[in-house]
Amino acid sequence: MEILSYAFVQRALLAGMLISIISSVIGIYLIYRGLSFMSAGISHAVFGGLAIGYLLGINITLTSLLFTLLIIWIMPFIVRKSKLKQDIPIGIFYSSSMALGALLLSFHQGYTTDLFSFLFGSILSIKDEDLIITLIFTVILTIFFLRNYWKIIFMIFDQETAEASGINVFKLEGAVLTLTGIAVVLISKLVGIILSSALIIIPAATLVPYIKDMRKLIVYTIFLNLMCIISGLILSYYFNLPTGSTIVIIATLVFLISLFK
Amino acid sequence: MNRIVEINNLYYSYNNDFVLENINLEILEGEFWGIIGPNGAGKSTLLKIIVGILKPQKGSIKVFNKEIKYLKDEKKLIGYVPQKPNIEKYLPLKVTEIVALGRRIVNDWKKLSSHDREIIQKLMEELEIEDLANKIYGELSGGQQQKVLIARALAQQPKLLILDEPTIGVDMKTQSKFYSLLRKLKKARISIILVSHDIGIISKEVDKLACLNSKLYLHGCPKDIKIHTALKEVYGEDFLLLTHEEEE
Repeated sequence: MEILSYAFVQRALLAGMLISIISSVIGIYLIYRGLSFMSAGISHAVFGGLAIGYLLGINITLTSLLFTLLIIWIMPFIVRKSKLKQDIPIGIFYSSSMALGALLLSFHQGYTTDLFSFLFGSILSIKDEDLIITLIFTVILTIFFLRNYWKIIFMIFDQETAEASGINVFKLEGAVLTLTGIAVVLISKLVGIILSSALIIIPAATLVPYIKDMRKLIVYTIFLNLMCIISGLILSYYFNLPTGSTIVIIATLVFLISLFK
Repeated sequence: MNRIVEINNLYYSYNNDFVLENINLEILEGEFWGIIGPNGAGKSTLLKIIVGILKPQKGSIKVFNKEIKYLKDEKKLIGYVPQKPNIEKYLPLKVTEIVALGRRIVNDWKKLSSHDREIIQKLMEELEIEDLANKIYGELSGGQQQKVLIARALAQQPKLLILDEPTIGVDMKTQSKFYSLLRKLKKARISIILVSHDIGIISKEVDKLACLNSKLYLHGCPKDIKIHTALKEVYGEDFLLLTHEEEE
């Protein structure tokens, strides 16, 4: 295939493989923890961090990451203080991050091409350094989940008993959400802030009702994710469509078809 | 005999409403304690404090002779079955995998050995859930789910077993097997704390009975407690308690 001969497509495919692993693992976790909304919320926070970076004239990936992690880390305290269900403070806080981002960007005078690619993604123009960072993160995430697999499973299954048996649920969930924050920032760079949460949630949500074995669920979700990314890449290449949007539309179509299984 | 749980002047409140007031209790190795009391009496709160999920607001609690906040590896020796646990039923976990969680806690989350698998198999046979081994938890009936949670707690081979209304939804035959299993555990010097509303069974099975309604009204051996007086004091109502002789 002609498309595969281009170096930028090869890089995009490799990035797609890595994103499939990251978003599948995180997506399954968020769905079973009842935190699907979290990924959409986190991606809004990325926008806030991005605007700060623009305004201060420093690396926007770094500011997005730091701002996102800050929001994730203070969220448990806000939830505890507000005594509301977790999704309400998440909704409030992350919308305000978006508002803050828009407000800060209104003060910025100048060129904002990177902003557009962060909003809608640019998997075809991925740089080697982004690929290496994503690869390193995938390795860290995989090792973390393999080492803590049964603890995480126990925490999802029955948090109260997991806590009673000595698992520090607060720390463990904090670690997973920190990894989720980093994942959303990295995925946003490739498929865009607006679409990153869709890629995390939709393939996992498609398979969760049907697969009755956790290991198979993880493997099949990675595979489905990858298929959506590859087909999105191919279609967008031949029909000159925006890649991120094409990938998410394909994932959504697969989800809708799965409902009629 | 070793002290397993030692509670001194314990207080706990939700929004300034005390659910536990000045609780003092000592549970020794191998003792089987029953806790009774009406809904909202603080029974589950007391158990959550003993397992370290809630922190005492006043007073002290020691488990295995250590302040609860300093317990680390000792937590593995506490088996706990909560009341109405908030479980993610649709997690694709097989019954064997759930029971095995108990062994994984003990083994520091390392791989299961053949000895672990033997323990799991034996427990599943004892609780008659071996046929359900490959079923998903969410597909089981309420009683079957409860048996799986009990098996998971027992798989830890705990030194202290804490059970919050464990036989709710469990049929009479399994209840009888369950209590005979508890008697066996007691013989093996395991301390047991059981919260139940089944006063007839609890007063027959346990060594010590605690009657709780925010305060600890009475505690001691069931035979020494005037059960009718105790019930009236704790529940505020007069009861007629019928006992049934077990047919052999």
